[in-house]
Amino acid sequence: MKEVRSPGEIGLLKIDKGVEMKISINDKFCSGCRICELICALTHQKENNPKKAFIKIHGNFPNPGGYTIEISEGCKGCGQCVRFCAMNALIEVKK
Amino acid sequence: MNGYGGKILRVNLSKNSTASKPLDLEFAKAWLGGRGFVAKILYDEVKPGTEPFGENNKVVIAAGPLSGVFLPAGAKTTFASKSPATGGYGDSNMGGHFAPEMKYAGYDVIIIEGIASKPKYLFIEDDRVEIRDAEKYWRKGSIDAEEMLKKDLGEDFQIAVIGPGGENKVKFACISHDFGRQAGRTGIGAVLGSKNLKAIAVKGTKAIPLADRKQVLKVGKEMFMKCFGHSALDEWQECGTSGVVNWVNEIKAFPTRNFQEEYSKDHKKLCGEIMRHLIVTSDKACFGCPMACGKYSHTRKVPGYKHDIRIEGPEYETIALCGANCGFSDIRDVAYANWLCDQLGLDTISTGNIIAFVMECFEKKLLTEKDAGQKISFGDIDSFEYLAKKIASQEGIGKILAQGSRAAAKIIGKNSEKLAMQIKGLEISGYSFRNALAMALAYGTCDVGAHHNRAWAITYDIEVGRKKLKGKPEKVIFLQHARPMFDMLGVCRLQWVELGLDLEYYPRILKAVTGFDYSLEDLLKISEKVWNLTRMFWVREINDGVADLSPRSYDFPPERFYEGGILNKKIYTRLLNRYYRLRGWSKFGIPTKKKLKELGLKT
Repeated sequence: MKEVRSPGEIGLLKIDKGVEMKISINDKFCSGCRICELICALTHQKENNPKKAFIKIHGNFPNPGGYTIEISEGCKGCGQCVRFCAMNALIEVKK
Repeated sequence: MNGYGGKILRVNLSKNSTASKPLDLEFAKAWLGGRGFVAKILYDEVKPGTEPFGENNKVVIAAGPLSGVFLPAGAKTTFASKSPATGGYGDSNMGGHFAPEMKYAGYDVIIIEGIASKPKYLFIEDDRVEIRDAEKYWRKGSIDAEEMLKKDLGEDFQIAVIGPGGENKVKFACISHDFGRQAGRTGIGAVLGSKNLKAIAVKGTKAIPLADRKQVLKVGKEMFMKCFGHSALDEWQECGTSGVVNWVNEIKAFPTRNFQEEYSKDHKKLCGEIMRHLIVTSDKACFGCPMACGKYSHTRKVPGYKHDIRIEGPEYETIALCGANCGFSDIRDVAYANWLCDQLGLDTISTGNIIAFVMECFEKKLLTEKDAGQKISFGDIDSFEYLAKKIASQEGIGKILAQGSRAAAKIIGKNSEKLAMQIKGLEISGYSFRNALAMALAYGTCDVGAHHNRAWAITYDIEVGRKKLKGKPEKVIFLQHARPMFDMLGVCRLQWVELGLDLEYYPRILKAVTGFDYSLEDLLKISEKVWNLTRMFWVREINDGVADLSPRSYDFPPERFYEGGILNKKIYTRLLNRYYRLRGWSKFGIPTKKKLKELGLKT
């Protein structure tokens, strides 16, 4: 898995093995609600525990504000996080 | 226990001790969580006549069974204490990420007792609980202290913190969290200050056990999809609560210049649309919330504007009370006032009310430059800054104002009581009710003082007609059960109120999460039980403290609210009598034995 992105811009997450989808990440739109963390853990670890997710949201407060999204190695590219992101911070890129 | 963190944490600051015990299943079933837990524990453990700032007062903090679980906005934490502002039952809730984190650490309830000899903060990381030295964070603003704590402990920690206002026991000091979420009302920040507790930092890495994981996923998904499909979602994501400014102004309920008027001609300079355009930099959501009604803002120094600050908000209530009510007509001034209150740890609703009260006292020449130390006038942000800082440090006139507007007006005298916008000692929220009878009743009977969140009934006034009396007490009672039900469950109510998420979803998801087989009616009945218990808290206090004062006389809104409106004492009394009858309370507003028995309350 490679992550190609620069801060503040739309990054493209490429999943090489077992690719199901490509996710484009835009931190600027992230509201920090962490539902992506929760659905990831519920789906893959079968646990209501966001700390076990393959995706992680970092807050950058109080200065400058906003959030950074980090996706870790374990990501299966299942796209559940995309489905529940209300802010379009995570978008599926059509193949 | 399914749906719960599983433990109650008790912290005694006098003894420097902490202890946890398992949450009892029967207790959980009877009181559900959040507001239910805190009200019950406070009623049982804080005896009548307790001094709000004394060693025997407690601060009880609780998450709900739906906090931190897969559904929209399971984010609410409730704080409760005997209120220094009102002398009665006080609770206040906040969104953010605190309640979920408490549960991930394994706790549903934290009870804070006693008084620490030196400034301390509470550190919780799963089973590790420590009372730590907080000297380096003391006297720091809420935003600064939270930043320091996150730097020291890690960004993963969720922090609830007080500012200098809380440390100095300002009676309307708030608790801040996540750089902009507040449990603002009833002065619980000051109770934490009186206990020398600067902050609570919590991090948890555990899972919340679910009764039926697949069903949680199914119902949770349905709830999310329902929210995603609602036409109002975009507006809420765009402006958050500030989006209602123009509407409230249009229906003439927008507090302006200390409630002298209900319409601000400057509303277009204060509304959500202009705020988004001028100062908002990003969206900020509570845990699991698709609405993201929090807005993060930045005011820049430019020629003619001197403040460069970053702040979450302003929210609607702040725009109303620290905006139009203080005569401001620039959203950047409101943002700066918001920032000052957040740093100082003051509730923006009460602070905006009290400063507007002083501004009007100046206008009416009840206060002079000599009294205040400088000239104070409507629309002057420097006046606001001066007074807010005086209040937080309890210096000069601030010492009087820090007691809240009811007490301050008594000290100032000269009939200034008429200008103090409060009920039961709690300053009124951002909706004038001279021409809104249901809202008047909602404020008058609210169980913490004049607060809108228990029954935001003004929409009903508009829906059925302002002058109509019929059906309004019934509606207020329904709202006073339905809205606090969300606070018991530890979930935000806005998805129901604004996105039309059906109430029937909540017993369904509760069953999937906890296994409790409750109908919506059952949940509303538990909420009614809590409402009667908080009423009994008041009755108990008044009977002990001020024997000649019936609770009923507490329920009348001040005369100021009648001026020039359709509301008058006669109409209000009719509403109130019907309300008491419907509730099964005596004509003095005291729950009857029959009612208490019906609800299974032993008091």
